[in-house]
Amino acid sequence: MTGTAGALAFLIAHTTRNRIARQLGRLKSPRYAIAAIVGLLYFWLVFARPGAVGRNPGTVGTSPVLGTVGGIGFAITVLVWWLRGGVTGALAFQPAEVQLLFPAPVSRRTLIGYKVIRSQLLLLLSGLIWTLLTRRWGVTLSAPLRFATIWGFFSVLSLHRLGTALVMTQPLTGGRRAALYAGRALAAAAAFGLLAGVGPVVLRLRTLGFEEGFRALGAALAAPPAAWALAPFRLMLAPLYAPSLAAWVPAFAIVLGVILLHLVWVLSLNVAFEEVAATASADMAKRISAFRERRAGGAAVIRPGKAVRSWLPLAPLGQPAVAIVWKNTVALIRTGILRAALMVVLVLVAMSGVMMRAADNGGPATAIPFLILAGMAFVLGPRMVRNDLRQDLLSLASIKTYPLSGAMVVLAEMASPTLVLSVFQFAMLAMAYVMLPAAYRVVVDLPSTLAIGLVLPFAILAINAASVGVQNAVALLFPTWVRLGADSGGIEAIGQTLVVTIGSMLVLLLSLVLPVGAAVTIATVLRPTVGGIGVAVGAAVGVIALGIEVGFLVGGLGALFERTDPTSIG
Amino acid sequence: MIEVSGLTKTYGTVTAVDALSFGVAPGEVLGLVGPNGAGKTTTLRCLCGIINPTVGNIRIADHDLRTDGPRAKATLAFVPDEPQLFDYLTVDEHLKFVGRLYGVADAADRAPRLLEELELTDKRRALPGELSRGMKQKLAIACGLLHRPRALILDEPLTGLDPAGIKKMRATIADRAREGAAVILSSHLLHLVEELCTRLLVIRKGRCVALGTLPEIVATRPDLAGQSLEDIFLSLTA
Repeated sequence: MTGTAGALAFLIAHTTRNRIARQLGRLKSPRYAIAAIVGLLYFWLVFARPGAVGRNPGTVGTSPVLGTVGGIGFAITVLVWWLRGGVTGALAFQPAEVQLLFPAPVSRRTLIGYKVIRSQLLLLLSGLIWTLLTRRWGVTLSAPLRFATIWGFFSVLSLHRLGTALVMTQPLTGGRRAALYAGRALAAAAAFGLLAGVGPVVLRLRTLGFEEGFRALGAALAAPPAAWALAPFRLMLAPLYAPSLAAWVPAFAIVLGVILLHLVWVLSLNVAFEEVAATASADMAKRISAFRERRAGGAAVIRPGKAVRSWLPLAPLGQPAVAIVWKNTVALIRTGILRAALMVVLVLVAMSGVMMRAADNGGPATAIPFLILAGMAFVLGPRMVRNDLRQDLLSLASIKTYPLSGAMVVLAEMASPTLVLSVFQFAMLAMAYVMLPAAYRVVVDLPSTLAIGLVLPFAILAINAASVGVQNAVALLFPTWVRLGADSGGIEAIGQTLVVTIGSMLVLLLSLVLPVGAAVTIATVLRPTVGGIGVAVGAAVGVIALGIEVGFLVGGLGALFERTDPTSIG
Repeated sequence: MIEVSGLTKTYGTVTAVDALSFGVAPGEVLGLVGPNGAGKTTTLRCLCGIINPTVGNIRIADHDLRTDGPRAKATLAFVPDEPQLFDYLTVDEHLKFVGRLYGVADAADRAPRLLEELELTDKRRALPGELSRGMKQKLAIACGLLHRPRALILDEPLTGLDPAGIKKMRATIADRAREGAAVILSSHLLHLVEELCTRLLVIRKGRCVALGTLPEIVATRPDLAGQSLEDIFLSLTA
């Protein structure tokens, strides 16, 4: 191969080879090797071990329901592209490609061809992963046929998105303007067909009941006009639920034909896409960087232009460490985690309200969503809410210049997630109690209620402090484990997450042994004589013991913080 | 104001900084120069408490950095070559944060003036992601100057600044020194070093190869007489 094509082939071949070599080379490092082994083990246990196949193989693979459900999803995706736009991401190149290939003497058609070939690497990998996933879901096609089918479907999707983006690239000229209008008209007609077929059934769902409604919905989707609207989309999925090889071959041949047509389409569109592509590439690079940073241990990254005036005040003078708590809480507000949590709570309140209207007032079930959320916040919260040292690991050099002792920095860093999680969990427990019908509430005498009510917030605070402390300890003790490196990914990233999660859970459980042991012993001894107050006293002793443990942890981490060289963190 | 004695930093078998001793008096600007990999950034990072020296003592405003870190750090400011800003704090909020951290009573008055001086007023509600490289550098400088540091440590402070920004920064450094701050300036821009610095510390492979005013350095090496700073630098670090 010579000339431009040869250079582009060289680029693809060598970047792929070097990337694989780099990933394999990293396995010489124990942390990457262990992470990769754990990740592979996890993958094998979940997807590949004998017996990991779904319980009823065949029920999904041969069911036309898959075609219908998948077809609807596929249809909605494509219709949204045509009617709403926003597909410029399909034109994104890598920053180095924009810098080196766009000014080079490479034709637009060659650039698009390069992009199509380059995207195949990702599509083949996605095909492999989904081949494993669908094995677990019980699709009956053999693995090679499943792989070919999934690759074909993804290729159509990818090429269609690229074609749509090229058609929509501004400024629109004669032929493309007509193509866009035609595409939108077809999409609108398909959307109308779907709604016209399904809409009447959806409106009658309440009267029909679940089973009858589901049957009616299936019938509506199988009959015109919905069936006409879905037909091209079902056709692309048809190989996936082909009952035999004889049925699969013609179905897949149609998909291959559609891929070829798409190829001709995208390569024949001579569009000046460079400006749109450069912008899309920059956006994509930012998103990838944000995603990698977050996966690698940082907090969610804020999109530029999304800053809102913080409603959280900070007095100009006072304990300096409070500034760090303030900074981290502002980060939490800006990254949208609090907003997401509020949305979940609102949904739960609505669900609980619906349950309360049931014949038996919903019974204890009205409180369960809140209890589940509180429990999840205890287990997953400290891993998810990471506006502490984990977020600030890369700013360690800057933070180390602050006029604060190491222990004070660590305490301040831990404070924000601890307080936020504690307030949230306490609110969820309070909501669960409020939502519980009076008939189901355990009646305890007033002094015991007061005693437990006084201890509970501190218990929640101490458990969260310990949990957040363990996460921060992992970050400081093993920064390279918490942050494998922004360019790590795949199997090793999965393995690394598993190792860190399991390790920190074990340490947390160990740290709870002594306080819980003390609390249970004291409560058991005192309860027969003083009732509920005995439980409260036991819990208070447990909280104090845990508080002392957290104090030692903060002191130790403070000393470690002062010794930590920021250059040792990737 | 800044006293360093026997500063040594080793990484395994590699000695990045080897027994450096020097002092910077109030009002003095010490230029720290040396070729790439000479140990300049490591030295500056030790002076700011970012990394601990393997051997040696550092005192800032009469406070030992090792035993009395918070007090020593309260008097200094470090402006690195790569500004480290918080993605989720606006320009205004960065200054508010630093004001509280260093207990700056008049931060509310000083911050707008600093922003005006560094031409960041229009960007005061912007997040760092919306700022250019030069603007980020200016914000890092504003954060460093807010608490009127008595010791100012600058690592390539002009990186990314436009000509107007460079001119203002030069004036700012000179002003701070006139107000009594001890300044250490590390830069490869030798004309800037020559213009601003009262003394020079030239290091190579972590070791001091020259310390003093330009005439003092030339006095110890008569062969350098009459040469430009660039030639003197190249001769000393060859």
